[in-house]
Amino acid sequence: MNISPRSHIYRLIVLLVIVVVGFVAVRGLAIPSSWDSENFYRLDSLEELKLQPMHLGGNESCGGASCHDQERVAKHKTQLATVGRGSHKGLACENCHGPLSAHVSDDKKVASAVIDRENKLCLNCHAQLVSRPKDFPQFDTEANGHWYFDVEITKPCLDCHSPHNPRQMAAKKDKSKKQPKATSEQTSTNGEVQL
Amino acid sequence: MLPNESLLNYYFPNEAEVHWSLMIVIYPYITGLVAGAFVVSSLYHVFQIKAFENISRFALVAAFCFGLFAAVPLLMHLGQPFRAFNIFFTPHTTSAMSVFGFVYSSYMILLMVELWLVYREHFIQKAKETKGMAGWVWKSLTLGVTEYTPEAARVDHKLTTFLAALGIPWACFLHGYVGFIFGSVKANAWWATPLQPIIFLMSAIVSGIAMLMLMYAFIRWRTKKPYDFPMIQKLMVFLWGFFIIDFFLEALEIIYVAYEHGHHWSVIGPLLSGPLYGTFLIVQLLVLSVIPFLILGYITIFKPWGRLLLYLANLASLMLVLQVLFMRFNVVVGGQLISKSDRGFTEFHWEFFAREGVLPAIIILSAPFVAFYVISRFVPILGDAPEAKQ
Repeated sequence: MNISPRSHIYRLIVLLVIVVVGFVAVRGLAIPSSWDSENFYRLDSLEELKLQPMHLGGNESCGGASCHDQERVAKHKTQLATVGRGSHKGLACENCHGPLSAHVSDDKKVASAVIDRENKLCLNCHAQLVSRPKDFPQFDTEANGHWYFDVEITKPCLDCHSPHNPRQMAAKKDKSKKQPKATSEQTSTNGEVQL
Repeated sequence: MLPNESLLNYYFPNEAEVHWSLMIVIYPYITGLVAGAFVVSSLYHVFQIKAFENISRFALVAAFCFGLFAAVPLLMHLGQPFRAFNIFFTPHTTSAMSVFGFVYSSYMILLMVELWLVYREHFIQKAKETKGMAGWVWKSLTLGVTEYTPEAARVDHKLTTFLAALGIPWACFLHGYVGFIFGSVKANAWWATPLQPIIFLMSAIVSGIAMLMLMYAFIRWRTKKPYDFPMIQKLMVFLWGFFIIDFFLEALEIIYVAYEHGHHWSVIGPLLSGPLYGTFLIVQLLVLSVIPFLILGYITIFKPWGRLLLYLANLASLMLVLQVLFMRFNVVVGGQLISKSDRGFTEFHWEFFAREGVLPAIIILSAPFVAFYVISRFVPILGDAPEAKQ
């Protein structure tokens, strides 16, 4: 049989066309139907994200609006007002007390909120780091009256500072120049938030 | 000395780890070997340099084997291999990396087609000789055309020359693009230079030629076959030529920044006298560049022959292969040692067993040679009639 000297080239071209068509077909299947080629994300992902279970509720949820125990509601509100006046006013309750989902589920309290009294929690933000802004309070044995009371980094921060309004409490201690008595809020060790 | 006369070595907390690690060092290295080996093959196919006739197929197969593993370090680095396809399916034109996927794939297709044309006669012969399953594999490689006529051979030859000619700018584009990816990072003083693509390309060609020389010498030594000294001589002349351009471009880039004494030098000066003093100035520029430069100059001018040529060529090639590996390390890791604060340097921590450690890097770097060995079991690679002039 007399075949064309270019027959293998034609077959190669057919093979390459199949590869290209195969790629285009696989591409068509692989790209999600809701793909937004302008903004490069799946539009459906927004709805899917909304369906994810909520973990954090924000300070509004701690305000007591959904809490049925009126005594707790009042305490939550008082504590939020205290935080709102102090230097920790920018923090969320859940930063220290754990996520709402671990505390409340289906409008019912399922577990006590976390109370962590370890210095480690405070030092997450207040340990000395060269990359922190100079005017951000960072633990220093020589500053803020620490030198007067011989405060070392191992001494519990909560012995003197209220976690909800640390600066105001510290100012009081400086005036008295005494080791203060810890408040009931600070000495609670039963693992439950005294709000 | 610290950047910008800083008194404190300051770097941001997220710079404590060098994120582009050894995998990103060997990625441009292997890609460079592809481009370099291909250029050698094209020197015969396109530029008619007869001395390279016997190694043109060998260079093509080597380029193909390196190409097979060029993207593996990237997959290791990403850790999510299947996501790699996303840059093909939904490429974003603002991403240099997504376009690289297409440049790399098209280059590999070109390489495979050229290899197929070169080996078609062998495939046809094997398809006729072999029976059973193996016969079907050989037959599928012929695409069903089992006659190799002189007319078809002429068509193949023309097309091979055309593909080799097309492959040169494409190989330059491929590796120039790797340099482009680094050179276009304007926030990094050590990377951001328009010379980066050309430097990467030249060093790629140097590493490719040097690696071919080492592989050639090893194969001839293992198979106890005579060496093609005229080819080695010519290869070393080309290696010297490309290396001169590569080395002086690298040096000019540094000299330029140093003389300019601009804001880049306030970072690069301390970088070169500090973290990169050993690996860049001493090892890359002094030991692994000056010595092979002198050896290759000696080979080119005084034309030694026999054992002396072989030893000198291998020594120079080994040093240049390492020089380019050091260059990749110094560029990729060196650039990341500079803190974005421009006030200090971070440190590179060596790992051995980690995912991006030394061991995986060695395994990936060895893989092309294993692939080459496997392929060489099935197809003849070196034209086996070198003139032994010892």
